[in-house]
Amino acid sequence: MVPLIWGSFRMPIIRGTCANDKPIADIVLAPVISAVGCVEGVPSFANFHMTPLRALLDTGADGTSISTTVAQTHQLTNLGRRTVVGIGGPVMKRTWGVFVGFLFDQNTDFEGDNYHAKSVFAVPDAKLAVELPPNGWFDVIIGRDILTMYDFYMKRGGHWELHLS
Amino acid sequence: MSQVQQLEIDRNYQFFVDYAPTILDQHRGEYALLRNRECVAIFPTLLEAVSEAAARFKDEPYSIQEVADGPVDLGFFSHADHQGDLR
Repeated sequence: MVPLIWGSFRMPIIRGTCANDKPIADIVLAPVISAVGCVEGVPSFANFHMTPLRALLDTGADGTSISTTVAQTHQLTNLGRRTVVGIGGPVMKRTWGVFVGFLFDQNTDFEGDNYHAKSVFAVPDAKLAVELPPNGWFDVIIGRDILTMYDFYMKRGGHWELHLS
Repeated sequence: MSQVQQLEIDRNYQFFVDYAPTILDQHRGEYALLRNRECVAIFPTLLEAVSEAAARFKDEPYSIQEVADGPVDLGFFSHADHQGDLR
């Protein structure tokens, strides 16, 4: 399946500088099940909640996880359970099905003037995201299930790049 | 989420904990569709599992589990001290 990009045919590169030593990217989410019995076969622009969420890019995480608060506001459907590594031992958490989209800046030319616009790069595969307790740090963790689909670079000075190609 | 759905998820999970090791070698990383403490089918992608569940069960309760062994590691969050605000 080809990744969906709105407003561009080029593969985007997301760049950032680590805030508090952590790489944070802006993302959006769409539910796999938007209503009872209604399955979204592909991520569509209309289904993404366009409120940006703070996502930690974490190569030490096995998979994607989403805070309970975000799951509620995005009306995600609980699909199952998953045991999670915790400080005090394994704990059982809920799981939700989601599509993930990365927000990136795009230069557009409108009547000769250049503008910056936000576009969405949608990860084509739906992910079974694990419950993340509400916290003040970030809304989502993007783990190796997504990062290994692309090229993620950490550079000197705390700069990072995610090549979505 | 209704209590009926939550109960179905919990019951299916209890079943799946014992069932998963028997299918792990052949279906690691795939997705099991569960209903009434039985594995209905296994699919290579989550989307296929959700689509089949929606078509077959409509609004009846079911659950979906990834076929995996051991607990999932949430990386930073699994090992961090959940105190304070790092922003």
